[in-house]
Amino acid sequence: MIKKLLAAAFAFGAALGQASAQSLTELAKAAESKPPVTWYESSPSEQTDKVINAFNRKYPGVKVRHTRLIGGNELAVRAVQEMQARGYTGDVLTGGADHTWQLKERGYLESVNWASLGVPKTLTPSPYIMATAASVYVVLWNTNKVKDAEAPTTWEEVLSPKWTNRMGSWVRAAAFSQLAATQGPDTALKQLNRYVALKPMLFKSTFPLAQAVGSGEVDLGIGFYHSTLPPMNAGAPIKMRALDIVPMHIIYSAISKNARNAQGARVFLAWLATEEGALAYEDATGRGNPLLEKTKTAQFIKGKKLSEWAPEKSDELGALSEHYNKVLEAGAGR
Amino acid sequence: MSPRSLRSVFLQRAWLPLGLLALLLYLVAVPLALLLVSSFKPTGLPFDEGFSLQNFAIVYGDAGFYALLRNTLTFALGCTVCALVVGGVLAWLVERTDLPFRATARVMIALPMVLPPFLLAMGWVLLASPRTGWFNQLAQDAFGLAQAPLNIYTMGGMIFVETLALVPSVYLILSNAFRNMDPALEEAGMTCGARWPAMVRRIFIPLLSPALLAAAAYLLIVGFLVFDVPGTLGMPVGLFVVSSRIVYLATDQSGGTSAYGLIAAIAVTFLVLLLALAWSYRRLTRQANRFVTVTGKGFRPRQLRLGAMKPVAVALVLLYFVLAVLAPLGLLIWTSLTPYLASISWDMAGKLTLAQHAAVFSNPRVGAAAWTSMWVSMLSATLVTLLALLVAWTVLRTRALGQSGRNLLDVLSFMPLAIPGTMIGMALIYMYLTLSFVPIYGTAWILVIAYVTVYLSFSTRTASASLIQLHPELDEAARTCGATPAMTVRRIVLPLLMPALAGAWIWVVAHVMRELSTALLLQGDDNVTLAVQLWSYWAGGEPSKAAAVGVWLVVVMTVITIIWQRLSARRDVVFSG
Repeated sequence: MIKKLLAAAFAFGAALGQASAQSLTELAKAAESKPPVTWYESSPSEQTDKVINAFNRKYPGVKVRHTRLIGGNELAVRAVQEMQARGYTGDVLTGGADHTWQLKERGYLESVNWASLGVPKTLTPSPYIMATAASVYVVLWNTNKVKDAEAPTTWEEVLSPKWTNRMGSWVRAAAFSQLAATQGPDTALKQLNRYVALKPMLFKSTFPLAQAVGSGEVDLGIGFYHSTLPPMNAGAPIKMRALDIVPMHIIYSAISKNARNAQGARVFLAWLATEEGALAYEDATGRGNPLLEKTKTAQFIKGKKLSEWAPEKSDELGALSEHYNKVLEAGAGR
Repeated sequence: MSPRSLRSVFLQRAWLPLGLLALLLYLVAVPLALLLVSSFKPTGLPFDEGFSLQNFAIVYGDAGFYALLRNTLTFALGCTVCALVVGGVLAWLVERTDLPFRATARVMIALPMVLPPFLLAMGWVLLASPRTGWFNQLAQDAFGLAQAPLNIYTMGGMIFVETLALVPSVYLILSNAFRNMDPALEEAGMTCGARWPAMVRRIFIPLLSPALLAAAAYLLIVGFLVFDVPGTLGMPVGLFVVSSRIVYLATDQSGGTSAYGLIAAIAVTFLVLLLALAWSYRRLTRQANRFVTVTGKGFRPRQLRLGAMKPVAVALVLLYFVLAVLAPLGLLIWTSLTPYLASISWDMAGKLTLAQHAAVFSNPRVGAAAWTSMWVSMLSATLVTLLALLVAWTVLRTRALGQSGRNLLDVLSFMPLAIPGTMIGMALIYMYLTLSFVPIYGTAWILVIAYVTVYLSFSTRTASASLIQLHPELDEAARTCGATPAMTVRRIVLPLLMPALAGAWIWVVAHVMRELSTALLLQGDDNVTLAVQLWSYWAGGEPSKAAAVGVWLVVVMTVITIIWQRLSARRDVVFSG
């Protein structure tokens, strides 16, 4: 009986896959006659060029044009401004949960039947958004200053007083706000207060933080996986690891209402949800999709406990982050 | 009607000043109106629904804001005083003494303008950080010190680096004022037995007060709004200023969008401060003839003989050049050759490579960005200089528009200084999305409009401070000889103002070349500038490539600065003739 059910499920899955492949081919054909898919995203265009080239190897007729918007807030504001003033914005919008969710709340996102495009259910918490990648928190250290065995493996070890005046992190307490999703806001706040007592150096983003760890300006940092990669790949004396609990921000993509090339946008996002697309994106930007197990990011955090707020709880996360950021700002500095 | 009479009508009749007023209203009042509307919108977006005072309540009801304001005031006043003193002394040395190699000195002093301030700050981190700073390592090795003697992560460090960045602006405003001072006044002072301190107090400062006030107003507002240096040197150790708050609200505010409403509410403080400064400036310069130093009577600027103090003066100029250019530029070159950010050491010397420069030159996006930056900066600088001349001329030399109209024109030209770049960017996005018949949204032309607006304040102050020193009798003499107003401007006023205008032009070129916040906000498909490209490398974790772009930016700007210097040298000939 179980065998029969599994066979039926497999046959249904295969049929769905075939149907989605067929529908993607049709969509791609329809998209070819439309203007290029405009993609609003925050990575440097040099990096996204590689993603688009990889996409065009599979779908040569569907043109994609990337516009770099420096962060999620700018992306959301630009989308709102364009929707208000001219009724359309970028076709594909890639940003954090809070950015895409508030665009959804304004009614600016298209509801999509992701399953019909062959996108796994695990990537689509809602019909409006699809998980594309993630910013995953790691601990990184300068190997000239900290021995590998000495480097923390748990949050408890990170908060040890021995790191006083030796640590650095992003100027936002976002790691602790995300930790609150699994630890609870009170525990996370206590951890944040212990962290503040270490007098960490604060950086505008995790990219300069990683460089500062590489140059020896700070010994140990709490940064992102993708922003640690550039100095590591360039040969800087840096190593990183995931801690016992891994806070992260999933990055979502969405299709805007009144998209000029909605078909192309669907094809592009469906491709990004495949192993091929996710790996191309990860190779180019360092940001991988933790929900697709072949990505390096997924391998990196395999077996770890993840901590992240669901997109629909963005308001709760926002309020918590505001409070935590003030705590960090007030107590930071050497 | 002949072309000559057409030009005459153009300058004499009221429609030019009216057109000028309309243009300034278009450039300045629209963003200003959007800023004010945003401050009353709960979401901060002017076309969203609702109207409330909550943004003001949040900003001004927060005790933390006043702590930030205290830090900011210390920082802004510190930079203003230090930059005025250093820039003033350097301008005096170059323009009023027999300092050797004056042409080279002008280039040396103006050059730091081109270094993006965050690279300057980054350079100083590598030089004077307590842990990895090269100067500290040298001092500790040389003198066996247990502790690093320098710490750049302090309020003093922030003021020091920002001062280095601001000195060229002060120099450009004051140098022309120094040049135009009639030596007869100093000679009269000396004849009466006045000593130097008395002469500085009774002659120099009163005569230079329009230029000094213009520079001080400019520096003070910049000190309030600038983020690069406090962001790089203050933020890591918890020294936050108001601009940190503005950047936070624009890029990191929770909730999914930039908090433009709160930014706008903060900006209102700057508008009030700026209006007060503008009012003081107008009050001070009301009796313009008090500041006239260039009259129909010819004079050769008196050059004080430095005598035994000459080596000290040369050392002073060199010290500034070393601290503001050579040391950070050396670090920039070093960083452009290292595979990742690292302080100077023998270990790293073996890893130096030209790969980053090769990568930059082989990237077609860098070439396109360089071209965009080049033409946008030159066109913006030319337009804004022309506009500044017309505004200064209308305000100081005509009776058009009535006194209140001219006051409005003057204040409007000063206003953009107080509007954060992000707010001007936001306003322009709305404007040109709405005015779809002007198809410049997403193109480099929208940047030109933004920069003409943003840099109008500095250029107008520079032009006004110089024009106020020219006696109207020069125009009257020209007219008596039958010159039309256009001819008077072309043959008399322009040559006399040329150094100031050329200085303003080069200043705008340099600042457009390195400007980031507006360029990032207005970024579209094909208007990426070199500064954005540089930032893109930096923010993408490739500081060595960012440094390589920075190095070549400095090379290009050095060439442009030398050309500007040549123009200034021609002015010396005009005077001497």
